[in-house]
Amino acid sequence: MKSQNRTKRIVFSIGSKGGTGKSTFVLALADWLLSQNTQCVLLDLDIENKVKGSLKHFYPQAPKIDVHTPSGLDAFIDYLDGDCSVLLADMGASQGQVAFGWFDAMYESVAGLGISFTAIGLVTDDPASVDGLLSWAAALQHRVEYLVVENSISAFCNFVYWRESEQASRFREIFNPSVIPMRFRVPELEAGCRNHGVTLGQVASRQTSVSELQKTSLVLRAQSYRNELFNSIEEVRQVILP
Amino acid sequence: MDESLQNLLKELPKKAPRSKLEPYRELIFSLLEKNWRYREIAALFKEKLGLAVAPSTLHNFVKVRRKRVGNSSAASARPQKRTNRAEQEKPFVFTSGETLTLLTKERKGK
Repeated sequence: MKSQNRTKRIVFSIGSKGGTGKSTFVLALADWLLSQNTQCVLLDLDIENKVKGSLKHFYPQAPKIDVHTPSGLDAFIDYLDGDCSVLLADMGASQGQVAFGWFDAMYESVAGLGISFTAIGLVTDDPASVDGLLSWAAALQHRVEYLVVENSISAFCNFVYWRESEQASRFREIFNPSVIPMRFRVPELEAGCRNHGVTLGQVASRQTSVSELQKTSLVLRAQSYRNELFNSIEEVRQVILP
Repeated sequence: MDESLQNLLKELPKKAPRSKLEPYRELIFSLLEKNWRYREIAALFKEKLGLAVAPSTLHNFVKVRRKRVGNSSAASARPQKRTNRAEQEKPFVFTSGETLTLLTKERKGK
């Protein structure tokens, strides 16, 4: 990679709270990139996550990488060496220090290659999810663009700590992040997908052989969620594509 | 601005646009507002205007102009970007574990 133009992008999930929906969103994003015919590579960096919650459970072909090694996140660069223009990485909840160290050491050189970064933070009603996002932002600062996903993990999420806390307000003022919603998904669909390693997109397009996920009601739900998410992602495509 | 400087400014000629896309700025932002994709705009330019341009060039053109101060058409395109460089450079300070303070009604209204 010799180009000085911004021709490639690394999109990665951030946050130090588990269970906020990082992997779910990254999977939806992968589906969207596929729908755009964008060459992308998916990396599973979440080595702590239990088997059924990890990206590799849904995308067996996604390389699982242990970033707790001396070269750490250099995988970002190596995997972008090919034809792909977007690298999508699902980071683990406790990989902040590794990522911050890597950015401090490598950011200037990598940005010089024409690679830009987008950090995706998932927020829920839980203040810990907001704390996770803000902690990462305090370390990454302006080296990345931010996409915040308001993930409704219940039917009555109000995101009070994200929308109404002074600290989050300051974050929005300084970084002006792109913000999109992720609607509450019926537990039957969410749990079924997780249990069988099937993505929302596969249910929506009836590409699964799992009978419990072939119910028309669930397929229609999945289609509705996917369409909504795709529309939201479309709105912020400039922070996803190079 | 001082009157002499204003006069000087009036005398100076306008320089040619640095980007070949400059004449099409309004068109590009209008198409984006209509949810056109960069690759679709690039194809349209090639077909209708005979102008070969890569989608990434369009993206960079838009990105740069969204950040410029006082660019009303750019500022209206989504997402809205900051226009104040000082604010843009301001570091964000937060300590993990810090108690999140909810804004009062007065401060929310600001």
